Order: sequence, then C-alpha cells, then structure tokens
Amino acid sequence: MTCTEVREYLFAFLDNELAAELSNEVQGHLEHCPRCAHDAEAERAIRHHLQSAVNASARAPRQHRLRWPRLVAGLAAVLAVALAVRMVIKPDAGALFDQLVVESGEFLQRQRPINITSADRVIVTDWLRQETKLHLTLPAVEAGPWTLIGGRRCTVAGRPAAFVLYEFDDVPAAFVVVSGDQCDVDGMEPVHRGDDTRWTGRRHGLNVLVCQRDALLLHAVSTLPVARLDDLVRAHN
Amino acid sequence: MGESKRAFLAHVQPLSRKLDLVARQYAGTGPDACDLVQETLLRGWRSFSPDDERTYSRAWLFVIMRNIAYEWRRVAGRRIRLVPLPESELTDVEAFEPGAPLVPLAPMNEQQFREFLDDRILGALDDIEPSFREVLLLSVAGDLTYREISRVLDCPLGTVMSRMARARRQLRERLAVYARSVRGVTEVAR
Repeated sequence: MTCTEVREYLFAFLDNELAAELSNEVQGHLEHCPRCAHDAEAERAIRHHLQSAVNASARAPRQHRLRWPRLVAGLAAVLAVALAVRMVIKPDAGALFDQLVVESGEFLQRQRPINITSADRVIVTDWLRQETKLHLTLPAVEAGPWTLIGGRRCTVAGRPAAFVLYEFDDVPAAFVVVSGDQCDVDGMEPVHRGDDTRWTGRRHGLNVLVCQRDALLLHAVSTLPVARLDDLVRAHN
Repeated sequence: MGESKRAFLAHVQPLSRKLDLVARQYAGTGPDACDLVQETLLRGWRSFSPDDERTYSRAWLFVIMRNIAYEWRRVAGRRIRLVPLPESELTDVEAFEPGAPLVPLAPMNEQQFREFLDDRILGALDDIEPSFREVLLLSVAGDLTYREISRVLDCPLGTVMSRMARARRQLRERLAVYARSVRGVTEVAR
C-alpha cells in the first residue's frame, strides 16, 4: 500500500471503520513509514482532544439541567395529562376551564410541553416566578409519593400562568397557577376546610380541584382521586 | 411504570448524554439545546412502540433530532447551526483528492501540542464548513458509526466517509493556520 492510499483510508482507519483486511494493510504501512505514522499520531491526538473538548462543553452551565429518567417520565406524563384534558373536558366546563383546556391544547400543538425539568421545587419555583412574574410557591411534596416533574410557562385567558407537572405513583397530575381572584366554579362542589374553601368537580373522567390563594388561582387536574389532589393543594400552604 | 415507558427509557438512557452533546452542537448551550432534546424525546416517545423494538436503531433519535433542527432553522428565533449541503456537493466530492498529502503542523513537542490543541480545537471546529462539521460531530459527540451517520443524514456510506475525510482535513488546515499565527508556537518551531 502506498502513502497516497494510506492517506485515503487514514481517517476511516483511525475510526475503526475499515474492513479487517484493509485495516491490516494500513497498519502494516504505518509500522514502516515514519511520515505516515507521524500523521496518524497527530490525527489521533486531534480527535482525542476534540472529543475531550466537546465533552467538556457539556459540563458548562446551562439554563436547565436535565434529569433524564424524570424528563422522559415527565414527557410521558404530560402527554397523558394534556391529551386527557384536551379530549375529555368539553368547552362547556366553565370559562376558566375552557381557557385552561385551550391553553393545554396549545402546549400540544406547539409540542413543547415542558420548559424546565427538575424535581427540585426551589429550582422550578424560581424559574416559573421569573418567567411568569407570578409570586407563586409550589407544593412541598419532596417527601412522599408525589414527585415533581417540571413546569412550563403559559397563559390562561391572556393572563400569565404556570403549568406544573407532578406524578403520584406514576399517575400524572397537572397543577396550574394563574393570576386572578375570581373562580368560575359553576357546577362545582364547595368543600369548606376552616376558613378555606375549595371547589371540586369531575369532568368526563378527570378530577379537578380549584382554590384561591391571595391573588392566585390554583388548579389541580388529574385522574387521581380528589383526596389526592387535596393533598397536593394542602402541601402548597 | 408502564411497559412502553420502561422500554422507551431503556432505549433512551444509554444515549442521553450523546443526545445532549449533539443538541448543544446544533443549538448551542442555551435553552434552544434544552428544547431540542425535549422535542426529540417527545416525538420519539410519540412514535415509539415497544412491540416494534427492532426498528429502533441507535441512529433513530438522532434522525429525529436533526429533522427538528432543520425545521427550527426555518423558524425565526432559533439559533441552529445546520447548513444544507450545496447543490454542487457531488462536483465537490469529485474534485476532492482523498490521498493528497496532509497539511503539515508546526513542529511542537508533545506537551506543547497538547496545550495548543486544548486552546484551539473548538475554534478550529467552528471554522470548518458546517456540512462537514456535522459529520464529525455526529461521530465525536454522538459516538455514531459511519453507517449510523449515513442513516441520520440519509446519504450513502461513501458520502459519509468523504465528508469525514474532508472535515478532518479542514480541521487540520485550520489548526495549521492557528499554529502559524501563534507567536509562541512559531518561536518553538524555529
């Protein structure tokens, strides 16, 4: 094999992409040709440093740190919730819910359901506060069967809102926070707990719980029982 | 956890870091890269069926990612570094001489060469033609074989080999230019 032929195959050889016979021929040439061997050594070093540099760039800070298992679970879960919301709740469910459904449909149409994926409540809260300008806090569910998956900024009826995704034993639940002090609770049942009132309802297979905190309306939506949704909202206090 | 989700995770988890690295190369280190990964997984998940596992090669998600990157490239506000290949690619390939001598690098000892590469390799990478850079990055960041890259790019294996050789040669040429322009290296070479 000549030097010209070796140079033709050199990069494929270094990437272990040559058939064994051809690879042996290149190797044999390199063992007897100092110039080609020098070229090959330099190319190995360049590739090695390129790989190291690309890997190092991944350690640079980024806006959101991905947690892969949770991210994938989150995507699956958000699909389940969003599809369920879109398909199950009908437009006559109330103005606010209607808007909520419309906005959830927007998530799907844009196919970008989660902006930030993290199980860290502080990280997700800070990000959503910054993005939505809502003075919100998320339910403190770090310990227990609830898992925070992530969140997304959105708008409901033109108002900034935060769409937060949780799982309870792998069952997804949406926690939507929107600014406002008046709930459209037609057809929903009030549940009084001390001075606090929540409204619950069931819309075509999905349970919904709504309450008001300061100037925020909190919504929990899921196939989970209302008691579970109540856990979530209580953990918000 | 459902069976589909478990199967999807089993497919995705070994590739997670590579997807992240490739997304950064397509979209930079900002939120666009984060969105690109999530979008890739979302579309992958939607089309995934655990009963059809044999069709999911390692290249599968990279194909999806690249298609999304091309879509986003057409949408204002996304910073995607993909550039479609020129129409004249075949002519270019014919003009390319794969056996031509490699550009010599300025003489350096091993330590100097390492430090030089540490400083300059990413700059040189950014300087090479995007269509060639993509092949190199799918190999280096995605750890894909030439055959897998040919699936991602939907082109023949020979085209991948040609682009890879041209990418490496361009990278080396840029490094040689840098080496000549670096005073310290020039002094060492004397």
